[in-house]
Amino acid sequence: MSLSKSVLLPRLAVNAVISRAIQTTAKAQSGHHIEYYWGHERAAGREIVGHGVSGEPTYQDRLDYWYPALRFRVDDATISPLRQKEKSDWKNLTPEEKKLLYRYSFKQTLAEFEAPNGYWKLIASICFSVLSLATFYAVLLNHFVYPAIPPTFDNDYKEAAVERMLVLEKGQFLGPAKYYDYENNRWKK
Amino acid sequence: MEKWPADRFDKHFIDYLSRPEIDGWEVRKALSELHDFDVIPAPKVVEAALRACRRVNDYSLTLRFLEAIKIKCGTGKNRELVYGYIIDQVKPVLDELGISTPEDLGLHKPELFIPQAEYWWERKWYKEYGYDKKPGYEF
Repeated sequence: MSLSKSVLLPRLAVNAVISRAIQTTAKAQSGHHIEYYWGHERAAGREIVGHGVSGEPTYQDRLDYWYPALRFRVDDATISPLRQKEKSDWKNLTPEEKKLLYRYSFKQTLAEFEAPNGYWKLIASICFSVLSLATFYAVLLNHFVYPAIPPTFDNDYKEAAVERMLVLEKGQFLGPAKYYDYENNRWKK
Repeated sequence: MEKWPADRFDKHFIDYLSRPEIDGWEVRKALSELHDFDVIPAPKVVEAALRACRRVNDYSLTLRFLEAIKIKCGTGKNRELVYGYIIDQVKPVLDELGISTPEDLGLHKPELFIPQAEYWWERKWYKEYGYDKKPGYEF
C-alpha cells in the first residue's frame, strides 16, 4: 500500500487541493506473476502414492529414486476389480493379473530399464560419416589445392643441415655439437 | 546414519515398517531411504518390507522392491549370488504371502520395448502408437 503524494513530498502538496490522501486499493506493484502450475494436469488423474524424486506429481523411472510419486496409469475399469482382489489374499491372483498390476503402477521393469536400446549404432554411424567427410575434404585439399612445400622439409635436407651445424658450431655448448662425440665420430651415448 | 552398526540400522527400518498403521506413502518413504544407502537390505529388513506392502495392499510394490534389491547388488555375478541368497532366505515369507518373484512372472527379461520419445523412431512405430493419423504426422 503506497503512500499518497502529499505525505511523500510535503513541500509539493497544495493545501487548497485535497488530493486523495487515502489509498483505498492495496495493490502490490511487482512485475512477477506466478505461472500456471501444470503439475496436476500432467498427472491426469493418476493416483499419487509417494514422494518420488522431488515431491512433484511426475512419473520418472530412475535408478536412484526407484519408487515414483505416481502410478503410471489412470485407474480404469480393468484395474479397479483387480485392486479390490488385491486387498484379499495374494495367492488368488494369477500371474497375468500380477503382471497387469505391475504394468498399471510402473512403466518399465528393471530388465527393460537397463536393456540396451541400440541407439548407439545410429549415433556412431553419424559420427563416423561426419569424420570421413572431413577426412575426404582434407585429402582433396592437400591433393588439388595447396601449393608445393619448399625442399627444406625433406629428410635429406634436414640431415644435411644437422651435419653443417656440427661442422660450423663445433665447440658450442648448445645445438647438435653438444651431443656429438668428435673423437670417435659418432653421437654421444 | 551410514555409520550406525548393522543391527541398529536394521532395527530402525524394521521398527518403522512393522507399524500396523503404516500408509502407502510411508512404505515408499522407507524403501526410498533404504535405497539411498549403499547397502543391500538384510533378509530381516526384506521380510519387514514385504509384510508392510501386504498391509497396504500393494502387490506391485513388492515386485518393485525385489527389483530394487537387484539394483543394490550391482551387476552380473553379484546379482546371482547375493540376490539368490536373499530370495532363499526370504522364501518362507514369499510363500506365506503368495508373492511371486519377478523371475517367476518372466519379468527378469525385457518384455516390452518403449521407444524414447526424443530419439529416432522407425516408421512402423508411428502406426503402432497411433500417430500416423494425427495432423502433421502423415507421410
